[in-house]
Amino acid sequence: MRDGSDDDLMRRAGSGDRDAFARLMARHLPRAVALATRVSGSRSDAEEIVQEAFLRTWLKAPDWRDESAPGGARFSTWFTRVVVNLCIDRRRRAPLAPLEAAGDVISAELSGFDSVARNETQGRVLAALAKLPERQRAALTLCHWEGMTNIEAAEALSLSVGALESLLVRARRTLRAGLADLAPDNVVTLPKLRIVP
Amino acid sequence: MTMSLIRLNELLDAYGADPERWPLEDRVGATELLARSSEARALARRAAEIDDLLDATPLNLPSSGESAALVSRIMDALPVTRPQTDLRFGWPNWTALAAAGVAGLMIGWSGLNIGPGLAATDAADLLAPTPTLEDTLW
Repeated sequence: MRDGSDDDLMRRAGSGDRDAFARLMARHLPRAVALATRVSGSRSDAEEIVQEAFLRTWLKAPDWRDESAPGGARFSTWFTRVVVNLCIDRRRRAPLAPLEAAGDVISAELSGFDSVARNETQGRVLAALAKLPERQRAALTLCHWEGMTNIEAAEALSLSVGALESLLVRARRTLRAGLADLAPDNVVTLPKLRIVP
Repeated sequence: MTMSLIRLNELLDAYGADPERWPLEDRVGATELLARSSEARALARRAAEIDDLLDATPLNLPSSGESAALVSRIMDALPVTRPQTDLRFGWPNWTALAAAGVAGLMIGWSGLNIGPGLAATDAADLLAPTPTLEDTLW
């Protein structure tokens, strides 16, 4: 195990070394906040989610097994899974808004996105992303921005690769439909397709 | 293996137009199809537009100051000790478990002999005439 690696810091944190845990957090926190903001749509929610994720990591540390051990995992993949699942669970637990407030739901969801949009196009894209179902947004986030392979993203979301691909296809097709006016080449449609041998 | 235009369309819809994001097993077939089909290239341009829109969105990375503040907040929230198994409660539990096991064995052992027998005896007693003093003596 390399000195200062994620697994080394987890091992030390597991024996109570708080400085090692602080180093591990400093390494992974910015990316975790960005990921949680994209999936949850809210920066304040993201910070709470990341705090909860690190608290779970601290409790997990004494039993941590790296990927070379049976049943072990790579820290970054495991931690991404914790963050994404917390985002999805949080949305699932959120109380339903009354019907008369339905018009406000989208704007409330978008608040985190709107605050960071720099222009109208960004605002449109972020709004379209905010309307995607949580799991589609999570899949897109992991594969597009986090640079995960399909196998890594499927593992992080506890899905098969086929199910992940299905989420991605639905997400991008929804975005394409909603943002067609921003993407002129999107006039290409499936009926024109033919099988090429 | 040759890739169909339908499969390429799915690939582009799932992963976008950047070959780096495609599954390894699809890269050769997709690249070959793109090289020979103008329809494939049109689909790739369409996917690239969505990629560009996604890439133009901000990363949402916190500043170093925000990160440091959050790290500090989380460190303050960490429990001083982690919940652990307390031996003072662990031993009595093991003792109770062992005692329950012994009791179970005893009940099971005696039950093998008298359980069904008792039921049979009870039924026979109900049907049998009341024993006389002579029966008891014999």
